[in-house]
Amino acid sequence: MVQATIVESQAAVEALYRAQGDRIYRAVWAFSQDADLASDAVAEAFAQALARGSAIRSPAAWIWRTAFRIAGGMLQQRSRTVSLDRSGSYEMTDPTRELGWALQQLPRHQRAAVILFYYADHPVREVAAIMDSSVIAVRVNLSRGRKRLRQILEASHG
Amino acid sequence: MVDLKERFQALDQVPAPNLERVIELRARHLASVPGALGLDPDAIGGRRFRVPPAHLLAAAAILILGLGLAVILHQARSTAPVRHAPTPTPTAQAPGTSEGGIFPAINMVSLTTGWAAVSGQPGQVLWTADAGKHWADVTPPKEALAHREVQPVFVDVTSAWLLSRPSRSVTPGASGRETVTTDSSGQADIWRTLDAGKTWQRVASLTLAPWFSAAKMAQELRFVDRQHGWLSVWPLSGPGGMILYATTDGGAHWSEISVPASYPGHSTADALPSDCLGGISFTSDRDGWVGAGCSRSDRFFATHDGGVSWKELPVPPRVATFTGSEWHFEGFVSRPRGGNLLFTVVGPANGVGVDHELYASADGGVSWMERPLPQGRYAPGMMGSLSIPPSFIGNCGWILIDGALYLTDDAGVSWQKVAARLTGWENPAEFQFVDASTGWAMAGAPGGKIALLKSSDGGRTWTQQWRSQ
Repeated sequence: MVQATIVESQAAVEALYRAQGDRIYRAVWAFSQDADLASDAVAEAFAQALARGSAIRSPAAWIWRTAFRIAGGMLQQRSRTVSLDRSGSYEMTDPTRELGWALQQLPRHQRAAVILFYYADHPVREVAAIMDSSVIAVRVNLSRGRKRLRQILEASHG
Repeated sequence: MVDLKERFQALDQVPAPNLERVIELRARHLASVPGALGLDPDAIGGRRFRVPPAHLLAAAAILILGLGLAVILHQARSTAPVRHAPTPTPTAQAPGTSEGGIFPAINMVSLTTGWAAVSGQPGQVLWTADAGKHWADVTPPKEALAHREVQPVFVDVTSAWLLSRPSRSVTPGASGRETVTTDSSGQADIWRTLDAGKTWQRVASLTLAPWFSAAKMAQELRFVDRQHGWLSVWPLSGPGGMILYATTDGGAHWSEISVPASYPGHSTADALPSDCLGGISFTSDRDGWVGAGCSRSDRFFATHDGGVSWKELPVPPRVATFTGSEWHFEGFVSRPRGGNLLFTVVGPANGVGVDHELYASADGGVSWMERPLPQGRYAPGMMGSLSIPPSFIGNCGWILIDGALYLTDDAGVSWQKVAARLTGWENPAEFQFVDASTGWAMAGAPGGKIALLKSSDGGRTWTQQWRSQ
């Protein structure tokens, strides 16, 4: 019985990786602008979910949340020691480069909110759960973030 | 106007690495090293994530080689169970939602009677009439919940509403990868029960007409009694602001109502752009408040005729000092013994983080007094630590910050810590007090379960009243 539960939960995490792994990676990449950091954070989140098995009720919500928390923590740690090369490790297309550059101009909370809302398609309540924040705080960050992002993107087009 | 939704599609061009093998090896390492899994996900961060993944990979590879295992990923995935580390207790899961389901909520409308919505796939609605000794499952029909995102609104002993909108859908692709898409049809259903959940009826099926071709999403539903409710609609993409609809017949019919103040370049319907808009609160069928910050002008309005007309009021004094910052508020709570309490959220001057502030008004919002919060105005923590709005009743109020529960019995003038943690429970998602001593909370329980908790001593101790299966 226990074995069956473990295998079931393992299968759920695997299915989740196949369905959303790329999307989570890209969201974390957009948040961090660092391919290695994004890989580490996403892999760690999925690995922890696999190892925790049936102790996790909603793997999708848990993994989104954990990946962003790990990435946020790593960014915080790195910011104390080294400056990040945020160019990424692959050749970016112009729209991607422009968006990535614009996102980096936003404070971390605002950046996470707009990525989770506009790219990951999470409703505000889920963004709040992922960011461990209140719905109203997310609204503030979303409101301020999208306003600034629009200004930056519009300015970059003259 | 830049369409952010469209711009974010550029991220789909970012190549994503195949992490399957890394995940597999890392999971094995976590499962095989006692204590490695003992991290509280709520505390996971760079400071705790110290071991570089490359080292972990190497360690895992050595471990596997040492055991003489020929690891073939496919076989490993299909046959090898994940072993759990022996020491850590499984971490409880936050009762959040994902891929649809019902939003968690709890509302005891009296000492004995109340409702709870427990998130899940698709989740449950519960009702009690004996102070939580027994909970009846009054979950709405599948039609209202399956593949839907559902916001419940519990109003009185027998009345509740649901805002049900399509959730994201997952479509299998030919390559084996699945595509996650968001419904942008603007479709939303309003469901209602008037008999404590014995029967549920769909009272309205709304299609929110695109505004300047921008997709809209029904965002938030509120009712103050059996007849009067409001529905806010946000843009998903493109230009446009929030639109507010009102009903006076329990949700069967909805009409757009005005929102205050015309801004240059915006029509009446779009008077307060969503970029500026704060929360709209109604405390009766007639009295409502809205705050907004646009173009270096913080503004605050009140209506006393259900939103037909609005009057501008002075902004609270501290907010006025944040020139140019947007400010938003919710949780406007009527106080039975006069005055009102207002919970505000303000973006601080440096634009980093979110500043939580509390104000009290004794004259319906004409003048305000700033009240302290237990840990100061700025909520510390990487992602913010104040995740649940406070609960007020009369002069008593409770607020949860960094997992600790604080109480005020003088309308926010002073606070005392009443519980360092909701001991034994994790990630409280909702809490509410019915009187000065009786409180309810929804929290994660060990084993990935969700529990309803009750306190009879003002929040100092909590006991489980219900637990999910």
